[in-house]
Amino acid sequence: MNRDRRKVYRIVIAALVGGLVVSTLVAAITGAAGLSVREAFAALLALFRDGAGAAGSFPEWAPRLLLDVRLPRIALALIGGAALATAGTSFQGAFRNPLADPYLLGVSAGAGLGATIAIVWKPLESLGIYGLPLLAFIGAALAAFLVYRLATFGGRTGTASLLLSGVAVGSTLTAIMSFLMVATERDLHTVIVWLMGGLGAASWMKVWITLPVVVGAFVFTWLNARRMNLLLMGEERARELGVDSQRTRRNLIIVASLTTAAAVSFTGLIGFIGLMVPHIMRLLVGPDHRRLLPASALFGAVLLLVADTVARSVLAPAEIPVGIITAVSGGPFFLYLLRTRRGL
Amino acid sequence: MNGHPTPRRMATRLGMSRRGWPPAPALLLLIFFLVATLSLLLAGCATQESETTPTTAADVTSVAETSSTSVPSTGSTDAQFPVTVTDDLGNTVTIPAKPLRIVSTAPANTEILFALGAGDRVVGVNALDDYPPEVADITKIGDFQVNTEAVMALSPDLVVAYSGNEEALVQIEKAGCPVLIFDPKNLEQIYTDISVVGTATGTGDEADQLVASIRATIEEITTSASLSGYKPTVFYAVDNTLWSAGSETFVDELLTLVNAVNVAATAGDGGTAISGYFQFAPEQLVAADPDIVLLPAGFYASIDEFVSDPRFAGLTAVKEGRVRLVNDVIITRPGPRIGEGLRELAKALRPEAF
Repeated sequence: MNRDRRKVYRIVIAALVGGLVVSTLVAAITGAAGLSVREAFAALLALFRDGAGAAGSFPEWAPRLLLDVRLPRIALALIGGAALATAGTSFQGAFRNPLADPYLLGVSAGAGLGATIAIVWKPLESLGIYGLPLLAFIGAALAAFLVYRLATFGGRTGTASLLLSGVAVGSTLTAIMSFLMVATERDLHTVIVWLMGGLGAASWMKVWITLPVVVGAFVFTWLNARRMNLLLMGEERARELGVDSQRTRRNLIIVASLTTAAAVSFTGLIGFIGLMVPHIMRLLVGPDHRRLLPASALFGAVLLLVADTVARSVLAPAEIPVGIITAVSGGPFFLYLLRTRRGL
Repeated sequence: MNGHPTPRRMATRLGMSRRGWPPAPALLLLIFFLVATLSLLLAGCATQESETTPTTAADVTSVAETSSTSVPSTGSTDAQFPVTVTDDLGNTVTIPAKPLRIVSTAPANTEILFALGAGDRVVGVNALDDYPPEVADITKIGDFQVNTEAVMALSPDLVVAYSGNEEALVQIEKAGCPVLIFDPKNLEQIYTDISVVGTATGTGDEADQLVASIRATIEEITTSASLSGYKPTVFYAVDNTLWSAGSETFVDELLTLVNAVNVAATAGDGGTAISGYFQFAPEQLVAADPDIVLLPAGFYASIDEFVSDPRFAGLTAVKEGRVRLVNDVIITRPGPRIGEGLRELAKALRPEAF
């Protein structure tokens, strides 16, 4: 039985890594500016050889396009997807609830409000391109912090309190954000597009900023994998086995919230990945977090990359916000869950 | 073993795990992936436009028809280049050589380019462009959002942009293509923008002539409007939800030129000015009771929708039949047809005089 499980796990990981490579290749050649596989490779080679290479084997703009536009976007999609999936797995483990998602503790509302303020408050335009992600991050982090503090009574933070606090803070922040949106009709379009999620403005700088955060978060969470497994058995039991459930849960939630905040400040609010990915992976590799975490991270990365590639090529040159693509796949997924379990 | 559930069993109890393998979702997922990958590959083949020839300088072939407000080309020479110009954001941009592959990201800019006779050099336009008719055949590079890839694939040597899309154009600038960003707030700035585009595209003489002719048109209309002595109060609807243009807006400037009193400019408490665009409450409009109501043809198919609204039945303009539709495109687009836009406004105020 255990040997089977291990074999399954290896197959899944291998398939995911393969999927990663394939989807990266497909993403590199698809887009508003079409490229064939041969052209893409020739262009990439030319980049390494510093421009040399048979002119005519690839369009003139290809190397620049790949290096400055497409590759950073692919990288950001992979990082963002992994971040959201890992955060989702953390939340589902910390809350012992399969319906938990990374946006539970007001992170999405906070990020949305931060971004809206950055867009509508003209004086902030002097902050430049990084103003928006910075404010979105501050908003998300503050919201999460607020939610946590409000739900803590005498050093104890119950999961129910956290959920309630998350709903309360989330709806308040969303109300403020909606008010701002309505009060400044001119920027409404920009705000809405950001809220629906998009990787259009990806750059290597954003990749370098988010990569260490996400890698760090993943490593931290993975090191806590065993504790997360024990948390599943309930507070009492976990404590008996030497796990400080309060502290573990708090740390997990903090790290997951900050990771989510970091991811969404650059990508907008992309839903369903944090929710769906851990679910699907749990069905394939089981609930052991030591296996679940890497599998979820990989799958989240691939899923977001595929979704983003579809989002920017189906209606080129127009772009569908990637959050719509993930939602479109999320809906049927939950319908399936509901029907097969004959109601949760 | 000792009565306590293992994590695995607990997970099952919480509904977080299922027995049986391989589960159907895995198959569904596999199918999803195959379908996604296949459709992407197909989409990739369909959008392929591999230009294997690097851009050459000999691409100026057929001269496209230019709009009615254009002026004949006086044959600018390449000796004028390189030039350095300043755009509306204060950026100094150097154009090394006469641009032959121009991308415009806003309808106003496209109209300017065509009016200056550079229309045949435009290779990319906004999907919202509608004038002149030639733009229908030009590659579209996005609408409200500029698609960086689409622009890059056209290998432009000049991008004439509008503020709001700077981030998407960062990569283009990095690639060495000069980018001009415009954001005109008044008529004078439109004239400056036209001059800048003229210098940047080597059509400086045409630009001067165009600006002069627009100035003349505006001068003529302004004079005849003030001579008529007619000074009505006007409500100019920007859309169909009572948004209007207060002071320090473009529309306000035009209304002042046709000798109209913009009710939106003094809609504040006690008649103080409100600047910028804002939304009227129905009561505010009723209280202002303008002589004339102007509705944008882009939002209203006819004046019936407004006239039949019970809230506005008491307005003087409604009762005396002075609710009129105007071509809001030429009035609000900061391009070469702005003189015609002013004429449109003047005509809406005094239809009998035109």
